[in-house]
Amino acid sequence: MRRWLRVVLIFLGVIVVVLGAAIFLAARHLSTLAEWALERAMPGVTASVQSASVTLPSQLNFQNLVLKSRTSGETLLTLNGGSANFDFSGLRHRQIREIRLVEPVISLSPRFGEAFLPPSSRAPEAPGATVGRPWSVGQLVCDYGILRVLQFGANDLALQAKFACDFQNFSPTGAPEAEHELVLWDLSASKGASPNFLTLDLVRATFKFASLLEKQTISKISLEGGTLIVGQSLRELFAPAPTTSPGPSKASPPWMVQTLDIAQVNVRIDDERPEITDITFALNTTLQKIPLSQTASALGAEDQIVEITNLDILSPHDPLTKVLTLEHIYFHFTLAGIIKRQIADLTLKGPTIHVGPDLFWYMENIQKRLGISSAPTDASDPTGRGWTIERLFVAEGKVVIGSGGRRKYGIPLEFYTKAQDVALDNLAALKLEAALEIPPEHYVFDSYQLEFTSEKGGTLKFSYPPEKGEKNLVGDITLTKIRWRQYQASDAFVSVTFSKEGINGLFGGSLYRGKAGGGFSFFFDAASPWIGWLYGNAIDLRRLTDIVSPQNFRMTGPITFTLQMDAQGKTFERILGKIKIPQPGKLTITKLDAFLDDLPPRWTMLKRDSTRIALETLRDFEYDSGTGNFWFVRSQGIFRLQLQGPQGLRSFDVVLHSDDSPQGQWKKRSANP
Amino acid sequence: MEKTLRQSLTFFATLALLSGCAAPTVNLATSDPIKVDIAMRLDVYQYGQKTDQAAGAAAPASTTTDPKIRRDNRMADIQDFKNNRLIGEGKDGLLVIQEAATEETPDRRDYVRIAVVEENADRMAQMKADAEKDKVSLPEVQSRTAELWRNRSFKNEWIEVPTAKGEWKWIQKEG
Repeated sequence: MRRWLRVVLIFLGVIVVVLGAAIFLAARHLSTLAEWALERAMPGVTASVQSASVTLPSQLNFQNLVLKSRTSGETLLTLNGGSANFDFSGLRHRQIREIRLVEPVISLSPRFGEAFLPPSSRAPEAPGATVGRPWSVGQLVCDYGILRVLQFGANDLALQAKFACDFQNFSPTGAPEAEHELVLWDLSASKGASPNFLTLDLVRATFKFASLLEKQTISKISLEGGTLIVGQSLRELFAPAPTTSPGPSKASPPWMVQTLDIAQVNVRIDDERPEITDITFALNTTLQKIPLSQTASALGAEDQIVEITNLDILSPHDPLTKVLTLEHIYFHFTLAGIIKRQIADLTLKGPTIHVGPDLFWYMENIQKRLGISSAPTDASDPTGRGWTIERLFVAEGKVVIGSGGRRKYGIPLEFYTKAQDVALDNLAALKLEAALEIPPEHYVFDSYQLEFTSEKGGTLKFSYPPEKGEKNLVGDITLTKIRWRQYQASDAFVSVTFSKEGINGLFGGSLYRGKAGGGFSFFFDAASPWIGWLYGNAIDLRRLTDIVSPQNFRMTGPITFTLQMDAQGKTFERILGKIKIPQPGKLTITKLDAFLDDLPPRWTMLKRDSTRIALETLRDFEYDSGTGNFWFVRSQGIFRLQLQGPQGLRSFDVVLHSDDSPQGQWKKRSANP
Repeated sequence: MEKTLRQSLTFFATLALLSGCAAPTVNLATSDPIKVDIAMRLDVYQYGQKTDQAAGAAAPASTTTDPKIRRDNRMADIQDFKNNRLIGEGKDGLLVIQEAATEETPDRRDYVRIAVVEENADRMAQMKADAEKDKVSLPEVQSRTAELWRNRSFKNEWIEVPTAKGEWKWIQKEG
């Protein structure tokens, strides 16, 4: 008995020693044990744990955990630290009560899912067998972690986010299927070392673990807030992949998203033109049942409409000077189109072109900045293409003329246009291939006492003619009627060229049975100087004099004239001209009739009769031809007219004085030679 | 007595004879119509056209303190000189007397010279003020002023223009 007792004691002692040794060994090689356990739990991986320790009674702590794919050797997960709570009865059923990750920094491979897949070589397990069955986790908790995904895919995509999770019944294989939610925030994505092209404020991913592993299906992804920058990175990501030689496909089954909900994600267009960079719009959409790989294309196909109001494009030299004001801009596009720099519809309502030197400086500046060349871009290279608009509509456009200073002259002209497939790199330089059309209209310029009616309308063209590479704006308009003060012309046209130096115009039309025309040059200067010239051919003098001085004199016959003027703003500084009356006519100074009727009755008969004869001789004069010239400076100058007729020569010099000062030699001289 | 009677009868007989004859025709008309050449000069004075001009008009151009008024008062004379091709717009924004002025009378030449000197002094003062205001150099202001004058000149007026070689030459502006 005693011997048996001794044997039992020795046996127990040995068992205790063995157990103690085992516990000692296990404690010494806990990390190895942890690696073994993890590999059992996740058959698709090899695990390495730098250190592990047990906190009694049932907590396993570990540091620097690395999981690698058993098949490819690729690192699937690195974990700085964490702990697992268990109980021994649970372990018997391959269950871990809780895994808690404390402020982990997880570098995650996109092939992480392989960790939970059985090796393909492994034989199928018998139903109900526990051996080889993956472990289940009662709760997986992380309050705050950092997730990094680096070098994802061929595009070297990098993701970084903070995350939190509280997965209950985290069981890969067994029921019940619980819905889990992974919350990420401060998510950013970049391509390699490039700046972030995507930042998201908050992402919620809802999934069932079994569906995730077996069907590669995510129940719902919600994206809230953030910015998507449509620029070079995105274009490269969505560029067509280079064709490779056909070979065995190792494509994995497509990941599916049941619902993708996007709210208030701002999309910004990355472009060197600041006025385009400023264009942002919010993306709000919900997509259903789409493959994850096609999310972008599905999202890209969604129609988007953006309205921008009161966008001012300012001068490169003067931030207070506008070159273009866009009252309303309506963009209609798809995200996929934006990535390809294509806009489906662009409507500009109420744009104002501020014509002045700054406009042309702006055009030059943009061209230099972007290095726009006339050479066609390579259509096969989407990243090298310029922006295009499939359909462009401009309505209620206005033109404002700047004078070099801050003074502006609005022209009550409206323009509109419709165009298709417009190259937008030219729009930035205000070079539309299509002309802006000026609709038929009745225009009134009150301050200039000018009005005209156009029944055919006209056009406004930038950089015209295009073959000369001019930087200008050319406006042509056909006028049915034109009136300046009391003068009226018909069948007229006006062609105006706006350039950096100024505004040059030509006009012409029918005037009182003859033809008249002229031109003007408006220089961009603070004082608004301009010059003009005018000619008339075979103008009916009778109708002209009836308008000029209906109560004083009348002349008949056709007149030809030329006239030059030099002005500042609305003030004529100098006028100089010549007239010619090539055919016979008659001069009647009707004003003298009043003198004839009012001859003083106290005069002698002889004096009255001789005066009457003299005045009547002067009043009526028939001429064969006539010439004249005139010049005026401000409100002084000389008008000289010589009429040659059968009854002799009539020579009139009218000297206009602004004062009665005797100063000025010109007053003593006749008109110009 | 008889002699006296005979003389009386002879007189009355002659008178009776003459009274029976037609009176002679005297033609006062000319073969061409009468031509009357009339030259008339009408001086029109306009008062109260412009306040500043009126203010300066009472004083000679050279004695008015405001250079703008002085220039306004001088403007017609300057135009008269330009019309007669006596002066031109130079490359430095100033007026330059042309060769044609040498053909004028000494009095007229003097008048042109003095007017041009005074006009240039006023222009230079204005250009210095512009340079000060715009904070740019005087030559730059002169250059852009000259360009503006060139642009604003009338056909056939003298202007000094740059050549392709970077030199300057005088031309009469083309239309």
